[in-house]
Amino acid sequence: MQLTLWTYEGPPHVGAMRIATAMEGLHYVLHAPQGDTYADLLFTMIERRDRRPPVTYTTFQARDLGGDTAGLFQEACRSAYERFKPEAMIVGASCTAELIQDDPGGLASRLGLPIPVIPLELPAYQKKENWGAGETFYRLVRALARPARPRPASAARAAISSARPRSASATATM
Amino acid sequence: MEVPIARFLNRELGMELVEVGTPYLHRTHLAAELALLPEGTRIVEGQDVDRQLDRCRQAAPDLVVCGLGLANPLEAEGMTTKWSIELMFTPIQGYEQAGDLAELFTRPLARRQRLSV
Repeated sequence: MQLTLWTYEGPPHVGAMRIATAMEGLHYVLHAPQGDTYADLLFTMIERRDRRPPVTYTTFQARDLGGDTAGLFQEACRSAYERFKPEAMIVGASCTAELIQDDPGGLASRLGLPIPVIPLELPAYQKKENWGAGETFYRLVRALARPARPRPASAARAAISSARPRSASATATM
Repeated sequence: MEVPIARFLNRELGMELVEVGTPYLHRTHLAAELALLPEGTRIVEGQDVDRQLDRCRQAAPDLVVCGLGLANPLEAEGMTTKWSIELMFTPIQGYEQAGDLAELFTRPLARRQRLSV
């Protein structure tokens, strides 16, 4: 018998938290209502870590929904950067916050912080925790890795000209 | 639950309230309880976790009643904690169980004493 949605794996933002906790110098700003801070206990109680995971929650309340939750999120990013001075930040929404559609990635990019800020798109009602962890790590690596060295142009040109017949130049003069 | 329990701790057990935090404060429903708290008690609604932890460390209280997310980190910092969730699943209502409620708070203090070197 399989029990319902988040019994065996949590929502994907919990997977993202696991990646942030497993690394040094990385901070996660999570747009999430107050109740979502329960996730800390996965690390402090289940795993018995001696400190909280490196996550800042916006902890918006019901009454905030009539106001500027986007502003709340930007302020959370700014103060998290000031306090923790991480080398990089990942930003996103929890399952509940996804419903208010604030676009954390876009909001964070407009702050102009001097560190890489990597937005996470974690659809909480289609994907679960382990996928979230894998996706977070993938986005991190993509954002921080140097671009691949391009193939030298001369080698590419030589490969093309040796394959094509010479008659191509005759049609070009029409 | 936080405000009534804080009132009980202060008036029945003589505990000094450094800060009373609650996720949601309904001032009308809790008016009678709020009136019984000492004048000037710091009551905080909602949680900016990092700022609350700053205040907590600065105050260096003898006992911190907090959620499971914070208890072990605070114990690692040398503070004595009490799991708030226990107040949810332990029967603590009524005169017959007032003693049990009080004991929930003395237990961490007694444990700290027994373990100190």
